[in-house]
Amino acid sequence: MVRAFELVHGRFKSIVRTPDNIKLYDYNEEIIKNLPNSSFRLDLFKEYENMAFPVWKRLNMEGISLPAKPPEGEFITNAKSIDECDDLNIIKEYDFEGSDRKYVLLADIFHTSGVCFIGDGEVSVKLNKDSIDTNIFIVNGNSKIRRIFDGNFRITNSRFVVKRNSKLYLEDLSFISDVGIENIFFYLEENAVVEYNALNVSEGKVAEAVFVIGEESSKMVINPRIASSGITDVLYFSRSDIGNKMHVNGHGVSASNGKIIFRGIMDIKKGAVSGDYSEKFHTLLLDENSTFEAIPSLYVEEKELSAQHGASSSPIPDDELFYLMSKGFELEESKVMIARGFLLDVDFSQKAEYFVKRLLK
Amino acid sequence: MNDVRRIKEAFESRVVERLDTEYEVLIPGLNEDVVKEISKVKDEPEWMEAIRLNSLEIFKKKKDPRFGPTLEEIDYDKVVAYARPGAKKTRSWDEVPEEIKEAFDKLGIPEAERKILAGVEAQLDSEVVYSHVKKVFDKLGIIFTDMDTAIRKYPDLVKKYFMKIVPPTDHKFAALHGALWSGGAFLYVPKGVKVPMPLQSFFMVNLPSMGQFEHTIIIVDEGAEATYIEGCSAPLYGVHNLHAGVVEVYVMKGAKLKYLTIQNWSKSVFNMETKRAVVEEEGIMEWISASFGSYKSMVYPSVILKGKNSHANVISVSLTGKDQHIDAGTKVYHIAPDTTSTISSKSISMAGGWGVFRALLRISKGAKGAKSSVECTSVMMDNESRSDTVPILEILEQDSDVGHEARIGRISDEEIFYLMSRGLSEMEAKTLIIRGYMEPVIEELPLEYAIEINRLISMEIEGSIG
Repeated sequence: MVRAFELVHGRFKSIVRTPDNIKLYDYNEEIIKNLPNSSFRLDLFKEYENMAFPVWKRLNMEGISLPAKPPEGEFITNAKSIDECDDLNIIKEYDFEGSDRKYVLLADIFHTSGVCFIGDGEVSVKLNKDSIDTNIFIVNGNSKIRRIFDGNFRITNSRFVVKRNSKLYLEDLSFISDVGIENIFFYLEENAVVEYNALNVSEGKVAEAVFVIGEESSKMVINPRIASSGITDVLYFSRSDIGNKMHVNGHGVSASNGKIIFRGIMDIKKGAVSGDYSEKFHTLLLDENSTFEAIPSLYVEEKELSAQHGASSSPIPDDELFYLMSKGFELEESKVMIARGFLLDVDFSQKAEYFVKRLLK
Repeated sequence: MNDVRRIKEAFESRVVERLDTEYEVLIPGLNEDVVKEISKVKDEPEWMEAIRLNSLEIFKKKKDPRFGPTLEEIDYDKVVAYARPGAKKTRSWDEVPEEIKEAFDKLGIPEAERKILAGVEAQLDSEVVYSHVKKVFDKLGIIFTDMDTAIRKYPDLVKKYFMKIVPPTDHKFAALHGALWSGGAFLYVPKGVKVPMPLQSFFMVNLPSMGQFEHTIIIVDEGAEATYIEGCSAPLYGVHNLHAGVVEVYVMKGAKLKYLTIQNWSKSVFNMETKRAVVEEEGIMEWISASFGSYKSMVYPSVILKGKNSHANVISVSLTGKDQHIDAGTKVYHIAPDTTSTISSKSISMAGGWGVFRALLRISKGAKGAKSSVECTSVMMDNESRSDTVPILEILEQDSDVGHEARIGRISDEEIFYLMSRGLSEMEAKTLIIRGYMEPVIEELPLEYAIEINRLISMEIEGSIG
């Protein structure tokens, strides 16, 4: 299993902080018996049953609760359902820690829906209902995948395996009104290339963790765009090999008492020579009570590389506001226009604009 | 050698005993009796003994930090909490014990500069053994003395500031410090006084398993200015030493303090020091540090920008070498409006060492107009080492401007080869590159300290090449 922190160097060790726990209503074995592939799920349940729910320091999960039964999301997609997947062992093969192991296992064990795609081509996935789901995408060739979620509650895992020399363009648009826990794992084989544009709009509490493992000469570019009037906590983790390129270029807009937490972990092991790594994130704070936190970290054991990170925040620059107001726009109108431009600077589908407008209304 | 053996036997037996050696009092272990004994030996007022006993109770309940290096190797029962050297306080350089003079020699302080060391507080183990405050300081009303004297002569002043910004409840090592503190310096600079020369102190651990818990308080009153230089060192012992000093700095309205540290603890020392400054309106605090030594470190000098328009400048360089795990950085809290800070860190990892830069920058709600810039650069000299960077930014005020950037610098074999092809040895080439890299800190230091740092760099490179 891929874990975010491997804090060991020779005979030295560092402490890996474990979150405090919270007692929540939890699902049990009885629920599994009524779901497909129950033996596969029961096998995972052995690890799950003794684990507690985390209460994160920055994204306090107190007050959230699981629905009485796992909600049945309804996917509209041209891909297969997860229950029709030929080999669910891919889930075990590409296993990862995510934002917290408890939630990764929860989605893998108690999912009621999800998508399974193997091959190349264009895939679209829409989901407008609350959901606990797990998804597998094995990309072999050139593929474009567009996914949209619009709902109150979602706990989800996605695993993307991008085969040797393959290319993937992935777009995720998400609007979460209440609770979202999204764990995404990318495994890039040799020379694989991925461009990932993600718009995450939230009025509630969202924890998203993106894990990337890259084989030799693979390349990944992530352009996260985050708008939050709730609390959104995102983690981008990568562990790299020779000649990797890994770039995260994030924009955030924190509005209406919102809070954005950006975490970056670049774990560069000995031998990952000639790599090129960067992560940067800038957040606009739209009003007096909006906040931003950032922990962009680098863990490096290789000297032959280029690695950098940056994080910053500011209100909307006065000169930009003044310019728009001089053209006849009201103050609030000007703020929204600038924030929209800041979030929608990458080539998203039309739905993206609707999500942003809804939050900044 | 006999003395060392007797000392070792003493702390292994965990019995409080007095030895008739060059050390008058030797107290191993950690319990109420030891704490009371220290207070009694030092003839302290009741309020100080109460602080010690309260701190001990807090220590018993505190757990190890939930981040940073593992600390299970520290055996608190074996730490020698207090040892007073036989040397008496002296007021002339000639009377200073030879071993302390030798330590200054090793630091590379030139003979001519020693005359200036009249302003030095040199601490061997727990007690200040050399104290000569220049007459000019007396004339200006500057109080610069050891903490024990300060408690006797200025009890109200000490009581007002002692463990107020680093309370024993802060963390486990602050509590330990509160129970066992010994020695340290007290500096008060009156309103409007600009101290004409840098004030200097030098701390040294000189016993196996010795705990060094010096407490330093600096108060720079309104409109005053001072520069304070702190050096620290310890010989290498087969057992671990523990350093858990505390420095509390108060920079009053319009005042300025520049605090420079040259840390060269031996590679058997756990360095768990806490340094914190609170800065009032228009005040300026500068922490400038160069770190070379210790076995494991957790040191994060902090600044609380409490007054409007106050400023913090933190510059640090560190060199982490063989058998070292150094977790260090800084914390800056912007509480008031229009406060500004710059944090600049440079670290080098080599010969298998593990260097971690950790920073916390918090812009509190209400700190309108706050501006901060955090920058750190790390260089790996080889692939046996490790370099981590973990900054935390907490921006709770919209009207603020904050930027952070970090990068892993690259010194390739080709660069070293190029210099070697011009006739430099490998050691000279690496030393030259590192000196250039550390220039921003070195240029802030008085000449003798710059020389010391250059020597330390050469020694570390020499050690890494073998």
